[in-house]
Amino acid sequence: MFIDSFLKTNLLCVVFCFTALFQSQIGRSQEIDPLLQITLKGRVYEKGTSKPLSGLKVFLLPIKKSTETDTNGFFSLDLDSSEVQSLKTEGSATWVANFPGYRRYELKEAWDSLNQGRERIFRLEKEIYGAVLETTVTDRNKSRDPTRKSLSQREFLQIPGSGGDPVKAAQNLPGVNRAPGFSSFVVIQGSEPEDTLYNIEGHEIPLIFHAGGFYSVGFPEAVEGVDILTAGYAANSGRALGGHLNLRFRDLDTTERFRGVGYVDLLNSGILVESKAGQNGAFLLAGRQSYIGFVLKAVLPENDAFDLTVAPSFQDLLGIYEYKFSNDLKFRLLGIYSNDIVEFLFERPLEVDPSVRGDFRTQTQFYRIIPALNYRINDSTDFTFSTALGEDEIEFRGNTNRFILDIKALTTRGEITKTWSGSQKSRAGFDNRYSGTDFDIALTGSQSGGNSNSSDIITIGGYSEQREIGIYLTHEANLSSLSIEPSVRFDTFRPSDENYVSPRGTLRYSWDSLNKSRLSGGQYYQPPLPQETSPEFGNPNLKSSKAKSFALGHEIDFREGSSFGWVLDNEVFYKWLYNLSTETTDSTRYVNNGLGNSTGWQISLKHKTSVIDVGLNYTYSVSRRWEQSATEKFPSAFDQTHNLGILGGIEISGNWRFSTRFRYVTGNPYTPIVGSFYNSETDTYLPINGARFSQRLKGFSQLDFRVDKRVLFDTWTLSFYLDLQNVLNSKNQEQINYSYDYSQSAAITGLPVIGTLGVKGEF
Amino acid sequence: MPHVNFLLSLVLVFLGSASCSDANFRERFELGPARILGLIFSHPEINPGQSTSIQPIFSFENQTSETLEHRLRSCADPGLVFGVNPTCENSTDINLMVDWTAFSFTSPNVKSEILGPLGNVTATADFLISSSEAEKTNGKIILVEYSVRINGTTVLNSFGKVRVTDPTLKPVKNQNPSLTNILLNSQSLASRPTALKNDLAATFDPTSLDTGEEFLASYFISRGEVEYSRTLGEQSTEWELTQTDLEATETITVIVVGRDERGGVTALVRTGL
Repeated sequence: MFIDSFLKTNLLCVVFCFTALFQSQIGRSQEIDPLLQITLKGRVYEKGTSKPLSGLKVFLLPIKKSTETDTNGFFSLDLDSSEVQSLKTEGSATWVANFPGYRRYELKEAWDSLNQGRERIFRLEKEIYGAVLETTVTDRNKSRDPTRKSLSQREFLQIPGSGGDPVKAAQNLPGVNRAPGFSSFVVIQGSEPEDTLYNIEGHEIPLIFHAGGFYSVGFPEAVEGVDILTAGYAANSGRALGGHLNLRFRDLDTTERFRGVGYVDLLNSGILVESKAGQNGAFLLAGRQSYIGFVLKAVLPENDAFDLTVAPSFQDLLGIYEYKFSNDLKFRLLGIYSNDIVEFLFERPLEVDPSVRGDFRTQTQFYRIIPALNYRINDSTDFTFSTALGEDEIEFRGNTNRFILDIKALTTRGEITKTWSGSQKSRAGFDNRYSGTDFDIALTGSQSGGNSNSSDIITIGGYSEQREIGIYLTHEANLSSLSIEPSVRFDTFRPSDENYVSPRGTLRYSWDSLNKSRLSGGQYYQPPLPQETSPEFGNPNLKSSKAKSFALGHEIDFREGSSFGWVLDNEVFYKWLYNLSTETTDSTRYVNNGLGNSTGWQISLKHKTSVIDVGLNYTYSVSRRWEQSATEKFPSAFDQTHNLGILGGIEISGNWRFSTRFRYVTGNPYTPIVGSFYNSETDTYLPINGARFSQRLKGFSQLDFRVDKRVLFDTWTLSFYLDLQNVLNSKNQEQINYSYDYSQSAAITGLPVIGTLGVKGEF
Repeated sequence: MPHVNFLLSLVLVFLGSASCSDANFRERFELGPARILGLIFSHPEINPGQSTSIQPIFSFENQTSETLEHRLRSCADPGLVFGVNPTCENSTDINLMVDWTAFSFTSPNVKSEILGPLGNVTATADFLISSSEAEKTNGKIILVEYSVRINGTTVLNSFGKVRVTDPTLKPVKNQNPSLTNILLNSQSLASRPTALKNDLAATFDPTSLDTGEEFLASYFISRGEVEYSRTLGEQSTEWELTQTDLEATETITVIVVGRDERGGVTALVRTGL
């Protein structure tokens, strides 16, 4: 710009100076005139998010000169005099930027503009905008469990029928049973709901779903991925016969931009902001507020017997702070808070049970503060440590009943990884859990498990502690195509005074670049639930349930390093369950008398191109239970013989995405009611159960459909989505409903066709 | 932590039950098929060594030529609090008062009534000898089982509990509540209603209730519909009839069964309306 104006204002002087300078250069260079050298600068962003694109090649045509962007997206291109002259003669130049995953960018710039010395901004449009806030996975989760099935943020945000929720989406993974509508648990491979542990960053939390099972507790755009560990999982996890579900929150964006997302849909809304903090830090804050209750209040029929005093609602808050002391030492602090509340009044006795009347209130809230440290001690040694400090408050009040728990929870995890050589690696770690519970319980006899007089109130209060220590050691030996990973875990459970050693292990074999097999298995223990060992309601002498689990899997990955192509994974699993807790009809209440097994085959087939992704998940399983003294076996509550899920999505021009999901699942078994006893004292009927789980609900089938439309602006995006569930309006049986005296029955069907419309803005 | 899920699902069940019902099911208040509506003990709570007599409330408005048999027996609590079925079937100390004996209503025109005392249950003097203080106060249970067999096949089962408490720890025993009247549109129910919409209520003697106890009334009718089949205290319920109901020649029966919260039961039966 300076040269240009100078030329115009004082041409003679320029000519004089230029001639003098030219003469002084004779003898050193005859071709290059330094006065004609210019430097072109610019910055490249992702369109719609302002994410700087680093390592991107920028070309200038027709002179065919190129440069590359730095970590903040900046680039500069030096042009010598001949190139300047060439462009000047040409009158214009064309910028071209090409980057995998982005549409080709071209911009024609006139010479006058080029020569103005300004910084130019290029915004490249992504080919697929799956998850705007998705960040690159770093090294926080290096060890991959042999049984782990995962969904990334991009995947779970787009699965139809899941409303963008990671845990609801994870219920589509192979080996995960379909949970009934409105349920708030995850069942793995025919286990019981209480056999799955829910974790955030590896630390247990009391519940994963908000009430009703519509949304899980983690803000979806902050979640990097959701993992399910199934039969045969590794020694760094324990205390669950079924498996684990873990939410991993993503690494924060440490570039200089300020990012955010806000959304509104029919049932809830939320906001997330994220920014760099100081030179080496970054933070994220997010929160959600539901208004499900107001919708419910609006649709509930007028009823002077029922008053929804406090409409059901949930809130959750999330905060993450990251600080990088050095490339080897990183600190991360995560805080999460979740609250669910509902309050209502039955002004008249409920038809099914007159003891149900009066005020009812339930509130469940918990928080966890999780500081974590990742330290690379040296090239061969890594250390990670994290602890979760928190509190769970669970309150239920109903008429004369109350159930109030205040649980102080502390979990700690640590692991040191030593790489002995390129083929030998060891890990040693601990996984401890402590909880101290203040409890205040008043339950009528009928609510406390039996048929006793409803006026007999059992009241207990006090304090109890549970201490569980887990220590594990694993070694990984890579012998050419074979990898052997023996491991052992030591667990101690208090107050049940149990100490266990659990040998586990994994074998992996690579047949060739496409084919890989794996075999994993071991011994598993699960401590009894607190209520099962309560002196008042359970059996203090009850011990842990136990299992031996094995899984044999084979993966064929046709992608060969690419993002696109076919992947086929199939696995057979077997679980032998013993020492299971079963209820008795005498004063012992619970004994370790149960036996069971789960056997199955699960297959996952995925195919992905730049515009289409399809997937098929199928699980065949048989899950049986019986008691030691009995010869007759019965299905487990979630014995679902066939579980099929088909997913498909297509991206079309204009940033439209259409996706669909179809599911078919064998109906759950249930115990029929074959008669009843009339209870004269309470004016209710007690059912007489038939053979346990001897009948099944009809098979479940559902087709879901989702449309996403993204409108891109330079620095932000606006998305609209319509998520339609059960578009065929299938009348799926969810449970059997009985008349007041159990003489008549009819199936309760699930939700009819239901749609969620939402809008989301991201920058 | 499954109890969390249990509580949350309980809320949903409550919400669901408040907002959903299956119209094809028989309603709780409907009289017609054979039903046992309650067991009245002369003394719902007794001392060791004392007795109580039993009167079932039975209704079979649809009865034509069906034969009826009943059985009354009692036994020590088989373990109700642990979920054992409320029957004396496997007990060793059965007190068989009536053994599948044929019975009928006192008059051919009556299809609902409180049957005369069928037997007595007596607590032995040493009944509480090995009981804890809590059990002596709250009551050790004697299970009373009453069954009706129709045409020798279909069986209706019911049960009640006689509470035996210590005379020292629990000197004042629970008594049956006193149901004084059934009101139709604020008047004593003496004839069938003439309006399509009516107000039905039960009156009771509040002094017959212990402190803190609530009076619960259950309504049973042979024609029409009541809005709420149960009321608390002074609450009333709407009794709605159709024009067909009003013009029908068959008589109408109304039964109100009153209960306190500790096993006391009482009833008023209005037939031939």
